[in-house]
Amino acid sequence: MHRIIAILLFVGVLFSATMNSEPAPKPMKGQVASLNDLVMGGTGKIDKAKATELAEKGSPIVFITGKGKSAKVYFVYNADGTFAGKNLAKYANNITVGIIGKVKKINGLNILIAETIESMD
Amino acid sequence: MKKTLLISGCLIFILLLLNSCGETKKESASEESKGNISSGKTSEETGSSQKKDDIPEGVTILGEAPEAVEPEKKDYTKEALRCQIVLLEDAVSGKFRKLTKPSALEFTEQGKILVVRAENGAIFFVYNEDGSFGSKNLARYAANDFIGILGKTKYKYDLNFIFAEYIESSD
Repeated sequence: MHRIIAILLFVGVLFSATMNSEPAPKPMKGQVASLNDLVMGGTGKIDKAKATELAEKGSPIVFITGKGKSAKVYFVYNADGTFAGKNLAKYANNITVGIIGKVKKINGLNILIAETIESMD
Repeated sequence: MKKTLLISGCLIFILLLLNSCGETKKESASEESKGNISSGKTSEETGSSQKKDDIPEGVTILGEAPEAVEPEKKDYTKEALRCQIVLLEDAVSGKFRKLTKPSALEFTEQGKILVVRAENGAIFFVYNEDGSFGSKNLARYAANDFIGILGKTKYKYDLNFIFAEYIESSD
């Protein structure tokens, strides 16, 4: 009898704890872009090879969300504080890229400290 | 036997009830915040709430966003933009390292980005006249405390760009 009660209580507590747990964070969706192309009036879209080449040369590879006037450019950093251009370049062939991380804005720059970067295709 | 079963059943029911109450509060709180934003769209005074609406899902905001520093409306093709060469990551951390020419060249070789910081604190991305990124060109002037850049400016995506026609020491 006591066992039944204990099991029922355990199930109840477990269910309650599951319902109260925080939902997994949703990634911010966008595209990998070349800042050079964006500033020249392009869409910023580049392929993986070009993005890697640009990142190696020190040209900014950025993350862009939204379209048109609502588009926002993010400079992506790794958790250790290093610029994530090279890491981001690996996802340049993906149509949609998702990033989970933290955002801050400094001197007008949108900074995204990435925890995870993943393809959303 | 029946009593104990009834008591345990009641306990589970209370747990579920408490849980659902918590969720209702969360929902109402999010609805309230949505309401504020929608009302903000009709008022100019609540422009900041509109900006909060721009914040994408799944990200944590670390700091209150300062406004973007727009360049002063000067013609930098005639009067040089007086600025300091800084690493983009230093502009992000706020801890500016003193650069030398060799260290700046080494940083650019590592793929790090050099930008300039105007006297009003605005960050400019420097491009060469041919449209290539000017980080490496800037590195050659890193020994100077201040440099002057002549060139056309652009303000796009809340970012400042300058297409350098001429760079000189401005110490």
